[in-house]
Amino acid sequence: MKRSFLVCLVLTLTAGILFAGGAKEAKYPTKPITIICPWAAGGGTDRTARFVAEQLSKKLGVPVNVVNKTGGSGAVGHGEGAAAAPDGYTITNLTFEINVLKYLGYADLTPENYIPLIQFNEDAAAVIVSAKSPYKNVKELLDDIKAKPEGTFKFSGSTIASAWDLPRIQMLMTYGIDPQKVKYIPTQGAAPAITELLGGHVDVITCSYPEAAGQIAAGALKALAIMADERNPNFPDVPTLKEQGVNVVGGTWRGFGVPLKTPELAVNTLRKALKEITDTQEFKDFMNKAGFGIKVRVGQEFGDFMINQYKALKPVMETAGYLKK
Amino acid sequence: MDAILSVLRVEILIPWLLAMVLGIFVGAMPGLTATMAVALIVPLTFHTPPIVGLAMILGVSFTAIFAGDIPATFLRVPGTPASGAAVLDGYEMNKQGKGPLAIALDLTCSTLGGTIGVLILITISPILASFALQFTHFEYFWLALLGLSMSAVITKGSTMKGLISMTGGLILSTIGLDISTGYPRFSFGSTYLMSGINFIPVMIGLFGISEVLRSISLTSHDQLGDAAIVSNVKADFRSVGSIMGRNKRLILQSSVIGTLIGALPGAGADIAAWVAYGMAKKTSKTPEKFGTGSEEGVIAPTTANNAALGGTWIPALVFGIPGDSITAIVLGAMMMYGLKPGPLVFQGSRDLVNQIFTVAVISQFFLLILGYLGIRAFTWFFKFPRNVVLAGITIFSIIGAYALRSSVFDVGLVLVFGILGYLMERVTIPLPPFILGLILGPMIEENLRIGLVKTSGNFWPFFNRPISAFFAILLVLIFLYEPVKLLIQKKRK
Amino acid sequence: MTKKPFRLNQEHVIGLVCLAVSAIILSITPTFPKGKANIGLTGPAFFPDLLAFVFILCGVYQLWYGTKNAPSYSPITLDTFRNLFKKKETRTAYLIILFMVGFILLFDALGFLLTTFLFLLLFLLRLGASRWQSLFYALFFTTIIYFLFGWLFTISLPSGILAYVGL
Repeated sequence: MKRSFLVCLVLTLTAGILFAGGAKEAKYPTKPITIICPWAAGGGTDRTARFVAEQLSKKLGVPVNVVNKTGGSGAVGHGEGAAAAPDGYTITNLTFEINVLKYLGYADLTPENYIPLIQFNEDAAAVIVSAKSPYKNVKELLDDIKAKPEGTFKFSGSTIASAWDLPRIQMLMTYGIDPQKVKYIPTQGAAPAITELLGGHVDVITCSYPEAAGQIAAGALKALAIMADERNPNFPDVPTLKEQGVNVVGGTWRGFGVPLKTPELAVNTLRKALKEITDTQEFKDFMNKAGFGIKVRVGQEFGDFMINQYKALKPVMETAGYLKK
Repeated sequence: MDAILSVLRVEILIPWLLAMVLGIFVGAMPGLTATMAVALIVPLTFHTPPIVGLAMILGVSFTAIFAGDIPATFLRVPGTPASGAAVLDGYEMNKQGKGPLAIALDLTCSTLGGTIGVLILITISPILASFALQFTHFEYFWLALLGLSMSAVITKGSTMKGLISMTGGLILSTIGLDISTGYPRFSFGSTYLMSGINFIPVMIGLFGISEVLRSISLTSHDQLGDAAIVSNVKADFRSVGSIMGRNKRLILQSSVIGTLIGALPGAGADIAAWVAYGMAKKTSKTPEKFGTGSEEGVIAPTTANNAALGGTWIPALVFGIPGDSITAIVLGAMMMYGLKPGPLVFQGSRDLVNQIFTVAVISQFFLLILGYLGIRAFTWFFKFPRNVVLAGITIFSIIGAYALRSSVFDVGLVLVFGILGYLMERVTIPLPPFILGLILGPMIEENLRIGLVKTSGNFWPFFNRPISAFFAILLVLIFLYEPVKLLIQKKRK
Repeated sequence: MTKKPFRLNQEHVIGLVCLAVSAIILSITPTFPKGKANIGLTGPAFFPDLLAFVFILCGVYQLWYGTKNAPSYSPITLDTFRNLFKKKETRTAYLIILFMVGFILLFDALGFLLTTFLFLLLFLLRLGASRWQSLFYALFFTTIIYFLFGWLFTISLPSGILAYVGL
């Protein structure tokens, strides 16, 4: 009696598996799409991913779910995204960290593990100090760092080797200062770094301008520079680092990719749909309100951007002592 | 008055109450945190006016933190991390058939704690926020150590076994990426270990699954499930009034501790609950009752964790700095509304701030009603046969752990620590210090090491800054108070 | 004074576990990078080493304590292990653990619906529920969780092989 019951179960299962093997895809998409977000629910990357997911679902007519696979400084989510079945139903929300995971020895992952779809965001790092600090521009700050003894200045911004830490190192290197001459106080993200700066526990932080905008508007902090190619129309008063003679550009970015060997049909459909989304006014409004900069690079252009940055970061990582031997 | 009328409108009330109901569900589910409840609500708030969205977020966070205590009391599975300390005496009371009283006390204290927290937020938030800014690595180090010292306070029986348990938790907390060098410690090449051991699945395993395993391996059908089934499964409010009356000072003390710790950006409701519990035991006239189903042991942590929520809004509103992971999400949502959280909110959007305060206070009344209904809904589950209840607890714990970050690795952790928890209790090693060690380990280590980097190896700032010194002396007092008292008594004789 | 034969008890086992964990930690930490030159305390190995040291002290204390208070603990012998499999209830607990291992291994491949259903079914059958009862409750919980998590909480659960039939 009991055995026949189990036999029934096994048969049902087998039938299910056989049935499963028979289905073949000719169209795309025919079933739900998953976006793997390597960062926690409620954070910046998650919010943008969920917005795009909602739009993409409307465009393609299938559900698009966001799954947060967090941990290991992004290694978990990026890794699962690269190893997913290359059928076009798993998209990875790529972020800046993909360019450092291999250097840090966290995972054997580089931008070359994905077919690039689109980049939709870029936020330049800003150099921010207390409003009470005597420096009027970056040059004064850097000259003072040069003049004072080692360890006088404390920097902060986020975790080590993050999108806010590396541009800082690049800036110091370019100006001829040994990055070890200043202390770096690692924090879990920009918010605690801002707290440290407000409390007067550190001297300089590097993070995106919108993250500190409230404090800057209130007159507690001031931004000396942003590390972008040109000034940002949303805060035109802040000069770029380039203008001040330090040729460094850096910050974070977000985009999407799919695993290698994903069929061309899926790649092209997704690229087209995502490009259309980034062209809408709704998308632009969302990004502006949430304080994210818009930068769109499609397909190979996005791929080239990632690879170039990946290669350029190696000497920076090496000087900073982050490179895993 | 205007503010009250302006929020009591149908178009605000309906989403507000619905969000609070959702909060009960999410909070009562092991593994799903209050943060997750808020993250669920946020996408909906994009389409609503600011006050509706903020009412939903406030409501959902208050109910979720309370609802986490429901499974903590009845099943020994904390629904959210903030309920870890609520397990201790709540579940003991339940085993003695006093679960309904415990949960009624819990609900009333949560409401009261929440209200006091919000009142502190309304009245003195600018002062507290400036105070919180004084905290940096040196102060957080002491605070974490104070929290850890609670494991000695709460341990019953052998102090050595409490120490072993705590050290075990601390050791576990060193797994993963090291914050100051980024080096993956004890990860053996696994990206999952690299992310560190998340304490939520560990807590579910140690407390919840170990109890399921124990219950299964018992011959007689006592303990889990049965205790709740036999008792009248309604919240029992009859004697709540008189118990609360006896513990007025404790409620106030726990609320203040909760709000203060909540207001610190580097600590949240979970630590607040543990510290409040330990302090309650330290200041109690009957400390020996703690851990055996003491009413005070229920009051302290449950008051503090809801009070902490009000606290977390203090740095968020005053400085635009998140007090915890919930307010971090809230700040993101406020930006979407074009509000710049920070000092200017009080000037530029005074009306909205008043509405937020009003919503926060009224939410407490709703919590009382919805919390009661939530308990009713939850205890309906115990009407099932015992084996069905066990199966239900197990599967909800597993899926809850999975949902945390969509990974079966966390389910594996639940199982491993379920077995470990079972074994530890067999050899009378207490479980709470293990959780405390795991939660506070990173806080102690990071703040000590990064603090030392800041000072180039000089220990002095750990002692000569006013707040550091205060904590250091407090710690000494906690441990010397009793021996010294004994000594004085001896001398008098 | 007659020398009592050494009998292993649970306090000794706790001590030995502590010592073993310390040994593992101390064998790994030397591979960690060093801290900043002038502040040795700040290296990643400092904290684990400190904890390992505490664990060694705990372990030694436990060995001493277990020997001193040997009469109050029942010694661990071969019979202790035999008894581990004697009672039906204990065997049930092992089986439940085994089911959970199976659940973990199959969850991604088979998908949420099938794995959860099978797990609950086996769990309930083993705990003495009747076949139809087990079937009913297994379906009941699977459905509830599916809607609660998948629909209300918008947490995507793996569909596994059922993905091909559109679930």
